[in-house]
Parts: sequence; C-alpha cells; structure tokens
Amino acid sequence: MIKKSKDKARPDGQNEIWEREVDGKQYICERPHYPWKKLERELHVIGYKFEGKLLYGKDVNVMSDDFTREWIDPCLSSKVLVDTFTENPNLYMYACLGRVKNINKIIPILKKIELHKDSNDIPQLKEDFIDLCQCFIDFYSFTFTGYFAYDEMILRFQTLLKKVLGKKLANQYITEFLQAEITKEAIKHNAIGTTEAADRGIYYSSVDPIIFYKEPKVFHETALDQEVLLKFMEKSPENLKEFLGLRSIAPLAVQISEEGQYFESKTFLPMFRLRLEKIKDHFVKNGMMKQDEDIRDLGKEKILQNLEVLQCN
Amino acid sequence: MITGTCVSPGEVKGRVRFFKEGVVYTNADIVILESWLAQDILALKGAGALLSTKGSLTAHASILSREFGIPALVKVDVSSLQEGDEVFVDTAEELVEKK
Repeated sequence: MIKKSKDKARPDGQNEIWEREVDGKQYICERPHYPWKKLERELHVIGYKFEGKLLYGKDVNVMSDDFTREWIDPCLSSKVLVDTFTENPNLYMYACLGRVKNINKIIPILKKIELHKDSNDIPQLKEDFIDLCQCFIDFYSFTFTGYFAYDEMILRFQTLLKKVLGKKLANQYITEFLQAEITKEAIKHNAIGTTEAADRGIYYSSVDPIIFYKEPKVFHETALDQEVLLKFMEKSPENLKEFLGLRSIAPLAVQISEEGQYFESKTFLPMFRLRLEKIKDHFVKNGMMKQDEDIRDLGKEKILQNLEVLQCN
Repeated sequence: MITGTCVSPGEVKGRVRFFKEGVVYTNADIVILESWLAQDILALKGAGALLSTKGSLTAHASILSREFGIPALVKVDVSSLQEGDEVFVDTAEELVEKK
C-alpha cells in the first residue's frame, strides 16, 4: 500500500511524497510524477547507490515500479538529508565539491563531442554514447545532495530566520544568498529560460547545447552576518547550532541547485539528446526500431549491441 | 492587506500593470505575472517590482529577480488589484498597500 503526503518546501502540484514497503524494506518516492526510461533508470541507480554510500557509508535500496517511478531508501529523503547536513555541514560541502569535480571532468568531454556533434559516424557515435553514459552517472551521483535536499533546506533556513529575526531582516538576509555564479555565467551566454517539460530525463530540453560552467563560491559573506549572528546569540542561543549549520550550507545549496538546472537543461542533456537521436536514426534506418519508439527504452546494453552490429556491417 | 513571500527585497511606489508580452516596463511599474518563469524576468529587468501569483523562494525565476535587483513577491493574491492602481510595495515586509 502506498502512503501519500505533501511537503511544504515545494510548490503545490510538485510536492507529493509517496511511501511504501516492499519485501520488508521501506522506500520513498519524492518525484512520483517523473516517469524514467530504462536507460535513465539503469544509469541513475549506479549514481544513487554511489551517493548513498558516500553520505552514509552503506548500501542503499533503490528500485523502480511498473510505472517507471524511482523508489529510494528513506535515508535519502529530503528531510533526513537536511537533518544530516545541518548536523554535519562538512559532509554537505564534501558532496558538493565532489559534484563540482565531476562537472569539471564532464565539461572537456562535452567540448570534445561538440566538435563532431553532427557526425553520423558509427564508431564515433558509439564512443560518444559510452562517454555520455559515464557523464550521466557522474552527474547524477549527487542527485540527492544537489536537488532533493535543496527546497527543504531553504524552507528550514527561512523558517528559522523568521522565527528569530522577524520578517524584514530574515527576508533581507536570506535573499542575500539567492544568487549563483552560474546564473551570472548563464546571462553572459544568453542561456536563460525555464524548460517546461514533462520529461525530466535525457529529452528534458530541445535547445542546442551551450557549453559553459562556473564553479560555485563555497563561502559567501554578507554585510548582515554580524548583526544576524548577534541576534541569534542574544535571543535564541538554543537555535545557534542549527543556524550555523544552515548558514554554512544554504548559500552553497542555492548555487548547486542552480548550476544543476543550467547544466541539465542547457549543456549536458541537450548534447546527450543530440547524439542519441543520431543513433536512433541509424537504428530506424536499419530496422532495429520504429520511428515512434523511444530509443531509451532499449537500455544501455541493447543500444551498444546494436551499434556493434552496425559497426560490423 | 495584500501579502506574499519575499524573493527579492526592496521598497517601491508605482502603478499596477498586468504583464503583457512585448511591453517595455519602467521602474514606475509594479508588474503582475501569473507565471513565474525565468524568461519573463529577463524581459522585465526595467520594472519597479514584480508580483507573482505563483512561484517559490527557490524557483529559477526568483534567483534571477534577485540577480537583477528587482524587488519581488511570489504567491500574492492579486484579486483586489486592478490595472493602474497606485501601490506601495515593501517586499522584505511582504506587503503591498493600495494608496
């Protein structure tokens, strides 16, 4: 039986949380309306297991259902993650810097692919597909840190600030952190624009890929820090530890979430889509699939097998 | 009293304008949007303040309004506002006052 609830951190319509038990194990699904394709699920699961191990030092449960939703171990829920990160800000920073490192590894691969992005050459498509699958795993190895924790973390920070500082100072203070290096870079590259798509996978965005990146600022000072810190010390010392935890990670969370959105919608997924569509053209032409089928439903191994067959012909 | 959630702080006086594509807005315009999309914010860089019926603190568009320094409130019930109404907006106080 599935238990459904809503969280307050995300807007209505996007904030359902589903819970269920399967074979004595608990699972949650915080994005029940995202159906993932076979290829995405195969790659996600590697990343999710990596992230669970990185954050908790243990193997986490991940499964998908008949409707291709992804169900995960409750230790990766946004609420548990924010508890963990507030208590251990160093863990959050460690994970964020891990993702920055991976993006810095992916960017040169995308730049290399960009040079031949319209090529129909089978060995080249195969090489790109293998590279892009690894990039996908590397990027989504920080899904829960980068996305799931974000809204909950900012809501908790905002609630705490309003409770202690009052509305005006709380709003002035928290909005100091609503900025990201990647946003400034995206404006320079004319890469602004929300992608409204039902598909959150490789076909998320149909724009031409724009390759850009700017690392986040790890520490972010504001002129209000001293005033705010003093207020916490004087009025609410019992909340000081929570404040310091959230203060050290929330500004980074804004940046990590923002850069993730730009990286997915403007840079990485458009490039993956472009190359996958070229592969599909070959498969359709050679009777390996129909035009109205989705190549992602074949999964990684089948796509590679087909490419090998075509390469041998 | 009209209220909302602050995503970019600031105090502005101006006249209510319901967003229309292609219109160039000035800092005397308090622009009301139904959607809260990044591309709309880009087109509204010159506006005095933005009031949206939708959106959230963590939305892409909220980060952009803050980046451009445009005072903005989201989740505002704008049903009592009409085109041309003179208003005072203090977004950090999460307040819209009709004059």
